[in-house]
Amino acid sequence: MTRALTGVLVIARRDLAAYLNSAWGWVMVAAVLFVNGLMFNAYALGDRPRYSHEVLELFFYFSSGTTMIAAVLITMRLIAEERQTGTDVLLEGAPLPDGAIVAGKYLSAMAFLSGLILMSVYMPALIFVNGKIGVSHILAGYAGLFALGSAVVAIGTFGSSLARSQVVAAVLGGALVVALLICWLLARVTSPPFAGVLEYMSLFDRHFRPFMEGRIQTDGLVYYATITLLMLYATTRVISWRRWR
Amino acid sequence: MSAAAILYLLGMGLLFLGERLLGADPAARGVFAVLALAGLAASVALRVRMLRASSGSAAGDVASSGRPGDAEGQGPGRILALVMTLAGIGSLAGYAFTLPGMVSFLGLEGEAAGRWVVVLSALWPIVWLCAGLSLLLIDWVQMQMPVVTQPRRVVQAASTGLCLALAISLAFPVNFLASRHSRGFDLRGIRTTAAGEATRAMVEALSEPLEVYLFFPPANDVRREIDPYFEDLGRASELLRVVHADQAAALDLAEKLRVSSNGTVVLARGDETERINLGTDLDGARRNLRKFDELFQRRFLELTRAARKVYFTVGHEEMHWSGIDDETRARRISGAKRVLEQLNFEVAELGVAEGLGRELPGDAAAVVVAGPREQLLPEAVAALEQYAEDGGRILLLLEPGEEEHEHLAGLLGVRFHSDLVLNDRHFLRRSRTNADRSLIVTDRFSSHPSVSTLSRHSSRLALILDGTGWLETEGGEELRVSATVRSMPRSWADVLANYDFDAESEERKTWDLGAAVEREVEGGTFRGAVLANASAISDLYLGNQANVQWFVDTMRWLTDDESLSGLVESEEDVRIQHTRDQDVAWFYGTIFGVPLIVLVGGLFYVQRRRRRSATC
Repeated sequence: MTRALTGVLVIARRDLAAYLNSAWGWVMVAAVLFVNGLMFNAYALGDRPRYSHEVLELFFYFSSGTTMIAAVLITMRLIAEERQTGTDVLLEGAPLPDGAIVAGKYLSAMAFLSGLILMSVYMPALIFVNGKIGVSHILAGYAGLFALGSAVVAIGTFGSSLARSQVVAAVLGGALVVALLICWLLARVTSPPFAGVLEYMSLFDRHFRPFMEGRIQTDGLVYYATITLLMLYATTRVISWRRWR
Repeated sequence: MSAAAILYLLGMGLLFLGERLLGADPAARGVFAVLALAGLAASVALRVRMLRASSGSAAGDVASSGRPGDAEGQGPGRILALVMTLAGIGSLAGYAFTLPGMVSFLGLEGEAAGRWVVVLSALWPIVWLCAGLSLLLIDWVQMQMPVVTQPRRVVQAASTGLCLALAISLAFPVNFLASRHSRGFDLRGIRTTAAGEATRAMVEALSEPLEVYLFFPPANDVRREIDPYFEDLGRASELLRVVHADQAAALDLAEKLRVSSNGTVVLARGDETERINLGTDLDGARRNLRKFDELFQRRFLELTRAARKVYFTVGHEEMHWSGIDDETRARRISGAKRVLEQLNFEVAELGVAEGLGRELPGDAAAVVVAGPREQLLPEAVAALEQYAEDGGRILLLLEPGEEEHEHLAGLLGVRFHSDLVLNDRHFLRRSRTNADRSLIVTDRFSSHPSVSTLSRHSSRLALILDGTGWLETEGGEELRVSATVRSMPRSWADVLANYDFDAESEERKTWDLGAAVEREVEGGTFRGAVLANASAISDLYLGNQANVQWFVDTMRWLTDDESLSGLVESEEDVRIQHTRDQDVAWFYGTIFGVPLIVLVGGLFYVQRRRRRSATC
């Protein structure tokens, strides 16, 4: 157990260092902040007067999009890169359970994404200058971003475990995320009880909106935790399948 | 993926399309069902053919070469694939048995039928998922290893598929329970829909059951927005029952309550109903959601209380809602009229023709004398006196000017002084001259019921008074007079009318600006309220929350509804708009500044690490 935990931390530290020691990681953080800033100014603040809470909601709305894209891009290299460069042999031969490898990879990506999300905090803080919002609303929005980010990181990790190249991994991860995103559209054209199931499965519409509006719903947290665990479990099965061979 | 697997997925897809997307059109549904079944049958036929081929070639190969042939190595996998295909198709039978026709064919009715449908509806998707995922993984293994598939590999594929399917199946009940028992934590600092103190007080005072029907489709944004409001109110009284309904599904209820579309909130007490139309689109509903508490209060009062009449005296240059003198908004009281209507009062004029000179109408819940510029006729004062003797209710709003209205003020046990009360610290800027000192603010309220809400929230609510006089309370043995509103300390009465403090003739102190009066009379109690400023309820200043709260609570106290006093929730948020100059700073700061700092800092860090590694 202790060895597995140590292994998780070693893998997480190694992968996190890989993000921080590469120009790519920093370019991505800057690009995400740039896009967030652009959206914040152009759409959230906009050219007409808006209530502070509307500005904050729009900020979280756009941030959720950039967080999802960033999560897919961050995770595409997690396992696919190992296969691409041939270092997967070392990983597969490591005296660690499959779950520990997957957990280490997931934690590194999550830590990097969390840092990226937190760096955007200056934008909602700017609303205080001329507006009036509650700090708790900001905290609820960020809780939503972390939960959504966690689910997408897990999906991306799964996509990365399936592919040999990083591009394919990104496409697979992206496709899964899009499929879960558009569930609400499908829910509109199907009849009950499927409509209810599909509507519930929607990654953004049903579960993220309350966070955006400053409300934390426990079912939303359970949903994101479920997606995260399910995807990490599927990734473990893929790794286990591959190690067996 | 093999052709058999593709046909299996195609068949399942067509069945889903026919049953769930085109279910309303029987012809299309039939065509899709036939095509789907044909695809599934073809998939089974292919699987059987592949299995036979592997058995046949095995026999032939062993006979000729003495070792198992290519296809024989696929045997176990093909058997398992066929079993999974059949299990997947078999699970559809489970779905078929949940259809109403089949349930009645089985002779099941009522509770038994319901239980049967629930159990099967939960079971068949699990079987379908287990079979489908296992099948796809076995098929994938076989395609990866076309010559010989190790049996352990096939078993691993099947078990992986089963484990994943069961994990997904477990996720559904977990999430179902989570959504059923979901708890929400509203962390918005400023709420768009929150029940105010006054509304909660009204609901707490309910003596008869009241139903609130929320007609919204499931998972609607507007419904999500108002749900916390009614959860909050539901806790205030057990007599308030909140019912969620979908107009499309609960047609009988909708017809009974005369609701033609979703997005409607209906308040029902017995056969009487009141409705609030919000719509189902959040953007469209936002305007009403911001003042939802106000809207709910109004409908609630209309349903639970009979409308009462408030008369405003006319004929002495009083302030009026139509703005007859057309001077400024400071003399128009259309907002005050609207507020009274929201409190379920009917508002009417009271002139000589209506009895101001003889006897006031018997249905007058209260009479408001709003800023008369002319002295009231002695007959009118006498009629008001008689009204007071009979236990009437009078609100007197006086305005500094030529008239001091001795008789009228005396009726309420006060003496009105026309000298403006000024303050050189607590005032609002308007013309940037000393005259601005007459536009004073005050948060000094007594604990009297007519201003108790303001007193409780005085840290954030301040009354704006534009050119106010002051009151000297006289009272008497029978007349109980209490000062309700006072000026801020260090205010002075501008006796010299120069907007400056003159220490010799003027005095800095706290002045009484408003008062409430009570007197026991035969058969009841006379209540009166007076404010030495009339513009406080004008359209110009009624937008200030403290001003409207003073007016509402004073009217409530006058009409014996002081138990319903409290804040009305409305959105206190402020709009944000930037000037061009601000935009430039914000734009470059947020779009380029921070990302650039992060990028340069990050690249510098990477460069330093690389140099250090190279040195080592």
